[in-house]
Amino acid sequence: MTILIDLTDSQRMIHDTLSRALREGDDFDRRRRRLRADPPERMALWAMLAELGALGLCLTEEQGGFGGTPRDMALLPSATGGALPVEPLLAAGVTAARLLAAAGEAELLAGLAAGSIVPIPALLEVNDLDAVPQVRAEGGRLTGVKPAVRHADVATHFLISATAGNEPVLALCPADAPGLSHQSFRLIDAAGAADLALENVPCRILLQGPAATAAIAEAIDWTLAALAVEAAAICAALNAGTFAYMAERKQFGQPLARFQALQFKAADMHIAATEAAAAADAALTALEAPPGDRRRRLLSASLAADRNGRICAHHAVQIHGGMGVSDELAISHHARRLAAIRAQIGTTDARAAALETLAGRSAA
Amino acid sequence: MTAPLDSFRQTIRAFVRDNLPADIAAKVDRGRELGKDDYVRWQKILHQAGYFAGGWPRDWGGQSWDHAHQLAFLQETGRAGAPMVRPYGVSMVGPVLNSFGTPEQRARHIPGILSSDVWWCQGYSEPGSGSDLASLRTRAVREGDHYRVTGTKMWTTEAQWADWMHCLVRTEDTGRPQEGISFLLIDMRSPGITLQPIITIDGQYHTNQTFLDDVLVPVENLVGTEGRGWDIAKFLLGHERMSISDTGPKTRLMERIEAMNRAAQADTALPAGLRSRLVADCQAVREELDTLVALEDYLVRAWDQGRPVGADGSVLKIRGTEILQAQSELALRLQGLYAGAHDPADLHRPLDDPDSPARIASAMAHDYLYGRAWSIFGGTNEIQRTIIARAVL
Repeated sequence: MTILIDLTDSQRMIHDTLSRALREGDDFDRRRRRLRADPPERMALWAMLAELGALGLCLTEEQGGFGGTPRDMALLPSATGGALPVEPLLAAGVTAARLLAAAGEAELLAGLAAGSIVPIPALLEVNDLDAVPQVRAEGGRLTGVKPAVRHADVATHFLISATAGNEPVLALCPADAPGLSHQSFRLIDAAGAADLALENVPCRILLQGPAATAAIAEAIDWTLAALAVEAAAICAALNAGTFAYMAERKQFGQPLARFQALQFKAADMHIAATEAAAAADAALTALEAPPGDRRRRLLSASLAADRNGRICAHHAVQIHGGMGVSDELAISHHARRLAAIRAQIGTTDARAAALETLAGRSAA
Repeated sequence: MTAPLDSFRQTIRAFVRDNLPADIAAKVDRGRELGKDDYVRWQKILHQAGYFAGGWPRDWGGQSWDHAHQLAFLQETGRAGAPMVRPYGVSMVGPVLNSFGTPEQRARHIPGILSSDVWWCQGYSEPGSGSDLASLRTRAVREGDHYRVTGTKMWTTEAQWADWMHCLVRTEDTGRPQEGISFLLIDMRSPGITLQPIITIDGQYHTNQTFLDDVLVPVENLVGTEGRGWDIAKFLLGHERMSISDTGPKTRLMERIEAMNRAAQADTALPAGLRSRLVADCQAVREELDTLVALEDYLVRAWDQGRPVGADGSVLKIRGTEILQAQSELALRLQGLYAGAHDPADLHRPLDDPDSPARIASAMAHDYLYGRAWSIFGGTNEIQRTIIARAVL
């Protein structure tokens, strides 16, 4: 099952293959055990998913991938939505893949598609999608700070936005480059992150000037679309679990599904999940629009994902009662992943502020 | 004589300032988890000063505080950063024993509750009985001078710390489900009791599933009349109402949120649109909290003047939990790029371990996650709305 529409038969097959592999290779109890281990096992599924082509969905066949259209890309977050892998599938397979593709880095793309490298983007420094990077790239060396870089703990390479002179650049450095240090921490969905401190880190400039700006904006937009699809897939999973629970769980001699107060909550969850699916679809369509309009439409879709995801998560937990706040059911893990999405690629507030700016500009 | 309210508030504020141990204050301030020892230590300090069980009548070892003084005490201690007094003994089983217990039961259990030397937990919910508590199935069969108790209790918070559990059991199966429920005191060291920890959404161990397998409970541990335990359960709901909106800690959290918002407003690297959204939402939540404080104050003064409590407790519970949830979401948003950080281990770090933006955010995420439980525990907000509707329609 997928919330995606307009899929071709081969897209559907890829989706089913990925979903099945995640269902079988990553059932809920196994996932929970792995992520509670010390240290948590955050790359356990990486090789299997690379083998299945999950990291090549954003790439064309010439780039060593399986398609590279928005709807090819969307197969990944749709298939992972219910299973919640913490492997850096979107950061590497979508954001980094778009950046490397824009830079024409054939060799790195091949390594990414094969799963042999894990390139992780570090694009923001403050909670503002449009801020000019303060990390300096002078004489082939990077200096500055990139806070809260998701998946930095498992990276083999970083793709870093920086400023050289007055020009934006996109730079690449290995994760073990001299002068680069991390302060790692855990995220609410059990993935890892780190603050990156860069002190004269040797790097290679992949893109500069308007080409760098355009590639970074495009990669962010693709990531926003991927997150909107993932949120919609999680809403669908939350609703399916909650509606089944309402049919099964009895209180006062009746299934929960008979209580009007809960029926209305379920109806609101259904509205929210349907909106989230529509917003995800609109995001995929918007990826093919010209850049200015594209960003505005993606921000709207992303805000819709956050708003509706929050409704589904909070209602699902509430309807499950005590079981909803237990770590032992998938419900609370889905709710936590949606909270992580609200803080990914800037927070919801930063995206709302960016939308406000763009909408204000087009009205003026 | 009870002191006039304003000077009472000042006295409590000064008392907390002068007597709250620095390490406990630091744990509360920095979002660390408190252990049983911390609670016991603080509750003993309150007891020695005559501030523990202040709402109990003097004859029972309390201070006969009226509602307004009980509320002032909760507000001032919470606001000053003192730990919350754990309710299972002093707010729950204590008043039950004082109202329904025998002189022997009171003599045996009240001193330990007042001194915090004996720790209690509650065994009410069951896997199949949450909102519909009266459907509970844990069975107690009379065998000579014992009950043989078998069943499963859910959400037995702090059972891992408890010496005793106050427990609702079924002693009879005929008639309405509310009939045939009895209230038993169970020694947690009895053979046949097993705890299975339940990890909650915040990654912490607060609560348990408790299995009772042929546990023998002496009949003298029955409180009140056999089969009339439901009256006690209803009595307890009335006693929970005072602490449930808990505006002291919420006021403290609001002050923290406002400080974080001031820092965000001073950070000119943040987009103006983002900052103005935070201003608007901080203001909105502040208004709701101010109204909650006013509501709590208004209702307790009215109760002291004879207003029937009716569904007022449900009004406070719903608004209190909704506002706490709004605050915790706002606090999380104020963490900016760190708003996704959360590590359950952060609650257990030593106090000399320095805080970082990610660790501060982690404490806020803990509040957000555990905050989802507040509208569920102690009767879901749906149940509370049903109570209100029944009262007014």
